[in-house]
Amino acid sequence: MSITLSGLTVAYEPDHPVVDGVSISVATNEWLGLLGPNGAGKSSLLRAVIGLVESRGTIALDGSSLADLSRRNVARLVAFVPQEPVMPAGMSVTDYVLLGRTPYLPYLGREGAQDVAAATIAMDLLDLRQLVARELKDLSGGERQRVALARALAQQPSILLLDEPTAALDIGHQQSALQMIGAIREQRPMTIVSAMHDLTLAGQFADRLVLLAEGRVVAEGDARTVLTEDNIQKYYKATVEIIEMSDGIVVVPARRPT
Amino acid sequence: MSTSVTPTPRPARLRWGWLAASLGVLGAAVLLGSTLGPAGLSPVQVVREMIGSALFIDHASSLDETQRAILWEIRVPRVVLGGLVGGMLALAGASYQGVFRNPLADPYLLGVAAGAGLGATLVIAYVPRAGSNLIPIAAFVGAVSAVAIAYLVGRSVGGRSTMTLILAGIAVAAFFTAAQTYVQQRNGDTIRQVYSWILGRLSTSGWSEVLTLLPYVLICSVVLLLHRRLLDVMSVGDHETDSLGISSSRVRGVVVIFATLGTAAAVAVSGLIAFVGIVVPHAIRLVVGSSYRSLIPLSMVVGAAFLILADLAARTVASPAELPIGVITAFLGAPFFAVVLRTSRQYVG
Repeated sequence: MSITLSGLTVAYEPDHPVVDGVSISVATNEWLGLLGPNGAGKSSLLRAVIGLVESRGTIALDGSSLADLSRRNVARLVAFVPQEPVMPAGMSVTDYVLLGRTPYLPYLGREGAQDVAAATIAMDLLDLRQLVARELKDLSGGERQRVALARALAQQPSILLLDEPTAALDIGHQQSALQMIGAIREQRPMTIVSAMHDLTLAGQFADRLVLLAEGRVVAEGDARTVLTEDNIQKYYKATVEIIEMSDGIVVVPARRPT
Repeated sequence: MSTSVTPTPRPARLRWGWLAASLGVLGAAVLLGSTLGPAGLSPVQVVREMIGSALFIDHASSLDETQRAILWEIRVPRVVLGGLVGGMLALAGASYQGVFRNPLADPYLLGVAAGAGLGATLVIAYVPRAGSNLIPIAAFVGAVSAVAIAYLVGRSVGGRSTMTLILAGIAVAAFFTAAQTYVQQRNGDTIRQVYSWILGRLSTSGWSEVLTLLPYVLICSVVLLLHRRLLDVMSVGDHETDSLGISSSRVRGVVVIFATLGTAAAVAVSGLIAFVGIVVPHAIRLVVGSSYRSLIPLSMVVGAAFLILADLAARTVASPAELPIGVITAFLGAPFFAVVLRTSRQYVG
């Protein structure tokens, strides 16, 4: 399913847009990495795409305006994993993943066997079967990330929005989480838009990158086009060295001369 | 040789064993409440009378006419009223805790108590002759008005987020309490009557209070029971609930409306009975876990049993004098509340 944003603007205060007239297209089954320094508008853009914040401009999913879809229908098409998902302490992993079936249930209905089956498939995809009965408060950071992803997959979405999915993870877990997302995408094709802070990992895993600064698109393209020393210096105010590798590029922070 | 077993995902369901156990406790509370008292009815007589009445068998009972009248016109209405009030307050408390995602929320969070208190005080002070008939109506109107104003104030200053609503509720409650205190101070001769109402009581005149309260409890409890899975969904926060295709503000609005109506009706006939709405859901949460699929129905049943037993204590501990039931619930609830505060730190941070 494709996403087309035209002139998307999000403003929490009048005349101070955090997303300012962004126009982006994401092709069906493409993985788009959203980059930008803190406050660039990445999270607000993702929240606007799923209708969680008010926005101006148009958002189209496969050509259909988001405004014409009910909240329930949007949730059947688009799953969102926030940066820090709320995880009720006493809830089990199974019950949390089953929340992903909510868009498919009547308002006052409850889950049936097919919903449990869908949640089980999602948990199996993320290797969570041994944790099904465990309470969320007893999970490690990496396990919590996988559980949040499993809930999103239980929604059986065509589009997956990830807000810094690896922010709370160490480097090993960051890598394995992104590899897991990539592997899931091979089994179940879907369009992914993920806000990312680690520039090297973004370049390695996303098909295409968009760099935001002060709510606007300032660079767009593959990793070599977007992740330049000049762009990173200009928009992140960081001095880095770009190292070319056979399978991509590596962004290495360089110590500033004193 | 060990074999690895693949666990099967089992979603949370109503804990039927605990429901059966709590219904047993409720049955025992009804029997005790109907039996104990100065009239000296025996449990066997009461059980035979109740079974006989249920099966329309006149000769099953060994009670004389006076004892029958005491049982059916005094004891049973009071027990049923206690059950309805206790069940409604505990159910509303659990529901409020769900939609506000705050385990320390109670049914009076948005100003029900302050509104009801002002309504009752106005009648006691300024329309004393209409007294007993008008107090429940004024209390109900005051309670519903306070929550409606809190809701409108909350919306006018920044949407329907939980924090805005709670703060609006605190402001409205403070204002209504100040007004109630002012009226009370200006009419010092009615202070005793006002305090008697505020501390709560389940005195009945036959079945009229029960029949007044019953429709509210039935409708409100059905709506709240039907929302128990959605209360589990709401536990992940407004934004994530919305992203799952459910309008969090709609669910909160529906639950608050029906929890408030039920609470207002209960308060109108019983006065301000404290702690039931917070202590009972917490006791259940400690035993069966935090899923609202069990918490909501069990709160209702255990809340009913708790208040029947509290009322029994209120009318027998210092017999022939009767203690305000609010004193009993607070006496039991306050120490328990301290325990809850300790165990709730994981939820409230």
